Order: sequence, then structure tokens, then C-alpha cells
Amino acid sequence: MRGSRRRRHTVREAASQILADRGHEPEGLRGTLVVSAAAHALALAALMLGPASWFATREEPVPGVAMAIRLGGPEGPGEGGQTALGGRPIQQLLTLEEARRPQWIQPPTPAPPEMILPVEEPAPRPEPETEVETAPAEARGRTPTRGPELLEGTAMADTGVGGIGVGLSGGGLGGSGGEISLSDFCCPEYLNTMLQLIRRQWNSNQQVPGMTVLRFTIQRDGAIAGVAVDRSSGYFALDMSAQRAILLTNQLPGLPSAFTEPSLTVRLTFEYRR
Amino acid sequence: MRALDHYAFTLLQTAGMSASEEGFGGGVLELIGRSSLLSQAVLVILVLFSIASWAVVLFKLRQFRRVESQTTRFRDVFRRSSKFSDVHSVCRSLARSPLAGIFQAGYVELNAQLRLADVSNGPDPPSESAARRRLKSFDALDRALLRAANVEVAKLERRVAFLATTASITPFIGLFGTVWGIMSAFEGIGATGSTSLAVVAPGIAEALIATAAGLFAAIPAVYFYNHFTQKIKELAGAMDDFSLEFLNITERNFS
Repeated sequence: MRGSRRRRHTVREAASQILADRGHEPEGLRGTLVVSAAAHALALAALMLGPASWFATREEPVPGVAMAIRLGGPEGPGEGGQTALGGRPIQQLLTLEEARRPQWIQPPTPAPPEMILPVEEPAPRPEPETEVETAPAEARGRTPTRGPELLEGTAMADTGVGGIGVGLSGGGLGGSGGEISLSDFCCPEYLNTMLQLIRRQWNSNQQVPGMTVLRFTIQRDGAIAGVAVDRSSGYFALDMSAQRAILLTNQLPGLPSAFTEPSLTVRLTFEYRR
Repeated sequence: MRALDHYAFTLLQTAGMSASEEGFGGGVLELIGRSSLLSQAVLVILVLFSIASWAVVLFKLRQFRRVESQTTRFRDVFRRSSKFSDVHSVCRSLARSPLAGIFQAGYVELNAQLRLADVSNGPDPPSESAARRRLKSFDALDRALLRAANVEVAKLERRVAFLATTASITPFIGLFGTVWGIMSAFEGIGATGSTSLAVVAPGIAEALIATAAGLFAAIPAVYFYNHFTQKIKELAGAMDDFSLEFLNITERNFS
């Protein structure tokens, strides 16, 4: 059928039949469609079942020495007091002379009366028939010592921290959480000073509650550098207020010499409460 | 007491944060499951578009690979052989090359014209080695070659337009889904009367998935559309070149 038609038309349009034939495509799209659908299914499965670390943002490694301190939060105990913070065992020599013993107040001796009635001598006690034996001196208890004495350290020692009253946690009651990693930090007094200086610049009275975590680095000379928002509260104003507190503080006393690292990185949590 | 409450609340918050950091994929799934029917439909459409466009891409990649290898082979054969009939016999095995199509069209047209000339010349069969046969019209031959080239280019371009469509449409579809999702998020604000981020953020996150899916479908489509257009341009140049070569040879031999 087709051959006969071609023969008839050959004279007029020789190439038409060939062109029509070549216009057809031998294979359809079905094969690649199946392949593509399978690949998409695989990708979706990877998205669902794959570990989250493939897609989530990566956590930045914390550089150097960092410590987390929480500013704000419920009120802690006020100034003064003993704390287990930095409870290093203390051994020291105490001399007995220096140990102040409290003196009790003696009442004044009463004045002698003008006149006294003569009192009759009591009857003399009867003499015991047998001798009373006294214990030897060694049998009696502890003999008081004179001279230096060694005291064992205890868990509670006066480290001079003085209870950072605003929730530097671990400082006794009322701190807000075990987030602190100060246990082996040498100088809690320094942190106390730092927090006081920062609190002085910080306006914690904002409209909304929230929590901003800032990260900054204290150089050896006490200058503050590298202020960055570690975790935003979600409110621009709160983040800015916390950053302003740090930037206005600007200069802290130099790092204590007992702290050997070149700088100290602090994660400071600002907690705004309504 | 209040301090204690506050402390508990902070604990809860941090627990929630760590939970959301745990599984991204699970979070996305959860978002999709919670989203409205319309945005789910948008996502389905986008996935279908992506599947189809990748199918086209794979199909075209395979086609172009074959076309290119067969074209180079055909060109080799054409330049090496001394007779058109030899080349014509090869055409069937190298049918995917557009040059083969052009050659076939030209060959048929040439034969037809020669046969016509033979018929008009006289009843005696012409001897091959006798006087040189003349071609009646080179213009007709040129037109036949041109037609064949058009057919071949159309064949190469088939379905590439779908990639262009995908590239331009899918971002808009995704954007539509996002806008719709944000609209409903704002409705949620109006309903609850609170502007806190906790109310708005999940709706917006869920809405943004649609845009991401749209871009996911569109970007490969754009790349491969440009890739294929460039390839088609090169092949069209090769076809023109071949047509002129064919014309030259026939003009040299049949005039």
C-alpha cells in the first residue's frame, strides 16, 4: 500500500516520504520517565530518612576556653556568705595565738557591803577514813597543745566569691540552672566584678520576655572583643540591648594572673523577664 | 514560685530547641503534613514537573549522545566514499544522524530528477559511463535539502520547549504556594490575636517549602535548556555545512 503510493508520488515530491519517516521518533519518553520518577523517590527517601546532619546547619565549634554564665534569672542570695563555688580544698597553718577566741563578758564584781554579819563557822567536814586515789595525768583527755596546727580542708570554704546575687548559678541557693562550667576556673572574684560591670550597663527591663546568648572574648588586658549573638532571642531589641551592654562596658579589669590562657571566651545568657 | 515557673519554662524551651535540631527531614515532613490542602497540591504539581523535566533531560541527553557519535561517523563515511550509493547504503545504520536524513532527502531528489531527465531524453536506457548526466534544477535540490534540515532541527528541538516551560513556570507555582501559605499564616495571627513568633513562624516555614520546591525543579531545567539549545545550534550549523557540501559535489558532478 505504502510502496505503491510512493511510486505514484515519486515524480512530484521525492523527498516527502523520507522526511515524514524521519520525523517519527523511534522510542518514547516512558523509559526515562520511569528512571526520573525512581530518582525522585530516592531523593525524597533520603530527605526523610537521612541523618539530619546532611541538611541542618552546622554547629560552630566553640573556640578556646569558653564559659557559660547566665545573667538575669531569679534573685540569688545577696552579698556575702559562703559558697561552694570554686570549693578548692584549703590547707593552711594557723597558730593558736592568732586564733581569736571570743571572750565572754564578765559582770563587774559587786561592791563589798558596808557591814557583814558575823557568820558562824560551819562544822568541819569529817575526815575520810580512807585515802582517795586520783587518776594519773595520762588518763585524762586531750591535752591542750601549743604551737602550729594543721587544719584539713573542707568542702565549704570561704573563697571570697560572696554570692553573685544575680543568678550566677552554683553560688548557693536560687541560681538558675547547672549551666555553669566554672568549677575549675581559678578566680570567681573576677567573674563577680565582670558581671557587676556588665549589669551596670544592662537594661533588663524590656517589653517582652526572652533570652539572648552573647559570646565575647576577654583579652588579657581586659578589653572585650568579638561580641556576637550566639543564640538570638528572636527579638531585635533584646539582642541589641544585650549587645549594647557589652559594648558600653568595653573595658574590664585585666584577666587575673592565675588564669593562664591568653583570652577568655564567655557565653553570657541575658534573660529578660517581664 | 514565679521564679520556679520561669525556670521550668526555660527548660521546656531549650528542650524544644534541641528536639527541632534533631531531625531536619522529619521536621520538613511534619511541616508538609500540617500544611493546607492547596499547598500540598502545589507541592505535588511541582514534583510532577520535576519528574517530567528530568525525564526529558535524560531522554535528550541520550538522544544527543547518539546523534553526535553517529554524525561524526557519517561524516567520515561520506568523505571517504566515492559514490553516493555507498553512502546511501550506510544511511540505514546511522539513521539517528541528522546528516543521514539530509543526505537521504537529497539523494532521492537527485535520483528523481535524473530519472525524469532519462525519461524525457528518450526510451533508450542511458549508460552510466556514457555522457555526463545533467541535473535539471539545483534549486529544487537545495529546497529538498532545506526541508530535510528543517525536519531534523524540529526533531532535535522536540520536548526541549518543555524544559523552558518548566524553568519559567515552576518558580511562579512555588511562589503562589508560598504566598497562599503566608496569607493563611496571617489569618492565624488575626484569629489568635497574638503576634508572637511562635504563631507566625511555623506557617511561614511551611509556606517557604513551596518556593524551595519550585526552585529545585527550575534550576536544572534552566541549565539543561541552555545546554540543549547550544547543542542544537551546533548541529544546525553542521547540517548547513553538510547541505552546502552536498550541493557542491552534485554541482561538480552533474552539470
